[in-house]
Amino acid sequence: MDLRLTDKQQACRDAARRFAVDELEPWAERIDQEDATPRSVLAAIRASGYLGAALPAKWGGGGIDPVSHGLVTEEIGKVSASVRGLLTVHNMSTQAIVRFGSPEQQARWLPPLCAGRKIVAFALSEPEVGSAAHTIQTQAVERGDGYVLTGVKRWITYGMVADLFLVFAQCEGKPVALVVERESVGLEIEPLTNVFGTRGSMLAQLRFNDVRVAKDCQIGPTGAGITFVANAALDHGRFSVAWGSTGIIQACLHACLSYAQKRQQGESRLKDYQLIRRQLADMLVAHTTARALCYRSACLREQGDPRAVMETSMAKYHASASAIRAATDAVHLHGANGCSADYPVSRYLRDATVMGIIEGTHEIHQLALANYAFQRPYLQG
Amino acid sequence: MDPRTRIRNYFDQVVPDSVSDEEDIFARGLVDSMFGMQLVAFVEDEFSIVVEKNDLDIRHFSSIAALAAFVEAKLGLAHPEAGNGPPAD
Repeated sequence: MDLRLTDKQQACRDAARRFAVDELEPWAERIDQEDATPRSVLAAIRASGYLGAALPAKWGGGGIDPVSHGLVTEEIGKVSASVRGLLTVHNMSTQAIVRFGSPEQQARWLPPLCAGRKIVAFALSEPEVGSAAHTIQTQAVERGDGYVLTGVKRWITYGMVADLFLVFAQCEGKPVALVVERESVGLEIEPLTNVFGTRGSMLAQLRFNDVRVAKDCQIGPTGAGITFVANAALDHGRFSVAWGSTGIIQACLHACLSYAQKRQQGESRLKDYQLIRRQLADMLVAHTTARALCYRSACLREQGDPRAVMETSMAKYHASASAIRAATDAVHLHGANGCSADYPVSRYLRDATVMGIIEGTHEIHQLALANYAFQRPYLQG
Repeated sequence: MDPRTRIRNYFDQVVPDSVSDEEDIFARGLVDSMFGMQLVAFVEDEFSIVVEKNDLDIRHFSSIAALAAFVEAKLGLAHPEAGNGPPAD
């Protein structure tokens, strides 16, 4: 087993780090405080190629391997969890079209999505439906050569800027996935602001008032909307959130190392107090273990191993839970400063809390992972 | 080893209760919603087939017998009378 990155993977990580530091870090606090990602930052992301980094080269994407994609996600997630959320929803929704779209649909949507000329958001959650996705209430009624869509979608990450939405609805009790254009007649888009974490992710509520959607906008067959299309997309989303959470842990560790090194209390600097050192050690171990699970997930995905689905769930669960603990400790370590906007650690804690909810709550993953514990293949190594 | 036996061996490892070949593992609540994608990955990996978008019928994946019939059809091993469609409701 060789744990070293290839030259290509290192180059990918280094380029993402430079992009994050140069293009995102100067804006990260403002993105959080102003509940929005500035147009200039969105333009930089579109131009960077990171929206399509993990999408097929055949359609204009970067075609990078899962480890490289993870490293890019960690670097960007370390600087801004909000911006990382844009990469997550765009990639997971586009991957559903890659996996389940018809050749005509792929030719229509993948080139602009892979190039970042268009952004697609993932529209599953509703005001009354979160974890129990199979109970969504949005209705798609067949009429003529298409559907009429009625219902409300909520908490749609970057819904305020998306050009397309991958929307899940019930068609006579069977789930369907539909690509809906932002400009569709009858679609109302409202901002959701003043949220707890990932505040710059430009959340939207979508209200579908008899929106007509053509049949050729359906992704996958009727009945497959949740079990296959949504779950495949969410699997990509969990992979991204796992790496993004690992980035938050790394950010916490770096902030705490810097603060503990400089901050003098009484006769000693913080770094010399034993209880502080314990927190630093715990953060280091949290980062290393979270990243190790992310690597494991990436390698299994690369190989098409059936365990990849649950190993990704494990990585997401562990990394997001560890990020919450690391960020909580980071705030404590900074004392009153940690509760102020002068230091980024309170943002890390708010963002980490969101990581424990999106793409499956801790509790959903605990239930699924308990099932996985009963499976024997997870012991194979 | 024929597809049904290989699938039965896999179910023995991953489904947390013994099931007959015809039992619907989703209807019995033995597996969660993530398991569908795991089964897709399993048959693609095990039998070197591609599950196409039109194959995405949960009934193909709901039991050992259904999945074996699906895989045999994809591999061109299906008995002529079995047909290639999903099992009847």
